[in-house]
Amino acid sequence: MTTMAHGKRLMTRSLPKDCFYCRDKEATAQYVHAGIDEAVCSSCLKRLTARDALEDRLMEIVTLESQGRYDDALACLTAIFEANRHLDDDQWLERSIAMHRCAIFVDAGRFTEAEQACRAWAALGFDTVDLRWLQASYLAQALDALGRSREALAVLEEALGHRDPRYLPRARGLLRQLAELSEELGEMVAPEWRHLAEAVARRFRVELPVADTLAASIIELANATRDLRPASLDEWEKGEGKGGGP
Amino acid sequence: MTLSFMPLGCSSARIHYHPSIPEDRPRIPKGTADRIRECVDELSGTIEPGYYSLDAAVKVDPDGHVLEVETTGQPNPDVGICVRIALRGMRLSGEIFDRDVLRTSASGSGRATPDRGQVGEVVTIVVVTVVFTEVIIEAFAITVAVAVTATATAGAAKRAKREKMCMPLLHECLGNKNHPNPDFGPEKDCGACYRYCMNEGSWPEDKCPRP
Repeated sequence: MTTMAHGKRLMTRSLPKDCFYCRDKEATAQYVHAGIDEAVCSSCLKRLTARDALEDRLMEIVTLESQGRYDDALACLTAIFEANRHLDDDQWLERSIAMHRCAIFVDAGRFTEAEQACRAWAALGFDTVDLRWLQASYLAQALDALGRSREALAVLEEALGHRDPRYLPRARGLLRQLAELSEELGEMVAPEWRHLAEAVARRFRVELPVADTLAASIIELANATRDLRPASLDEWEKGEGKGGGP
Repeated sequence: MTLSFMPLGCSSARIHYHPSIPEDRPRIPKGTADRIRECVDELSGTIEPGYYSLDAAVKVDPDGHVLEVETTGQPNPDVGICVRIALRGMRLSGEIFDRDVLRTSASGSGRATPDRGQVGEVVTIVVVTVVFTEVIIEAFAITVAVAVTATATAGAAKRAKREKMCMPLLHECLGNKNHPNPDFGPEKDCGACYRYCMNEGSWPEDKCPRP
């Protein structure tokens, strides 16, 4: 028998297996959407429905942005949140909308609002370290544009203090931002970041380029690896000795 | 009253391009150059013989649409109006801002003078400028050399380039959200991957592998 709930096709027949997502609760429904066809529990179905509410309109939102209609894009995000907040038990929707707001304000050049939005995103916490780095990147751009470059540098350094080897390749962009901002301020990149830059280089199977300054090495690394695919986590961990990376 | 007749498709004004340095300096679109020639041609009766250097500054949005045109050095106001209308209809390819010929509006760091955005907020705007090869229109004893520069904010130009790359990848990601690598969870976070792509200029293949 098939019924509909939250706009999804639900198979209400008995499904004696764990939820595909949380691997914890018993699956009670079949979730079918965008290439996924898995048995899920009621909590995860709720979360996935909230997620789909945003993702089903993401193309519309980014198209509005590309047309410079930033306020319309922001209004769309607000409307999605208001209509689906009752499904957002784990705050995934709220955090994602906070991310998009932060990005939109930076892209729109509305840096005072960007600072507020990016800080609001941080206040909700991050699921993964790469999202923390992304938030730091946006916030630093806003602060730098507002003439608060030293604060921006501190934001980047704080964020780079958080690590997860899964996302190591993505530290490259933040390191580059740190290097460029340090150069702009006429300061040396703190030597403590060399170790991280070397680890990023190894993940891309190259050496950290030799240059006059650490900032120049990092910028050269970012340029040299721009089109390279990083090693997988497994491959990299074998090379590093598991657990030995940053 | 003087009437002049011109065969259809024929013009008394000739158009050529000033040899440019660097040699790969871009040209304005042919259609725009033809419309400027028509301006000189149609208004030649109002122009005193001589050589004129007409400078046109156009502001362009990230899609290459002209938003604003200012001209100086026109032979007379009517020619200026006509040329501005011609340039207002110009459409540039977004790639034009990727070429080596682009210049920043200030040397060194490439940062322009800080501009005032919202009240109390000082915002630094980086501007890129593309200088086009000078178009020279000759009609009898009249020569009008038209120099066109197009400017866009560097951020806007970069954003347009990244949108072109990242938006199709977002669309593809949203159509197949299942993540094949359990290290990254069961589902791709396509929205985050899009923001990363727009911010860094590359799609995060590990977080959102392509199908």
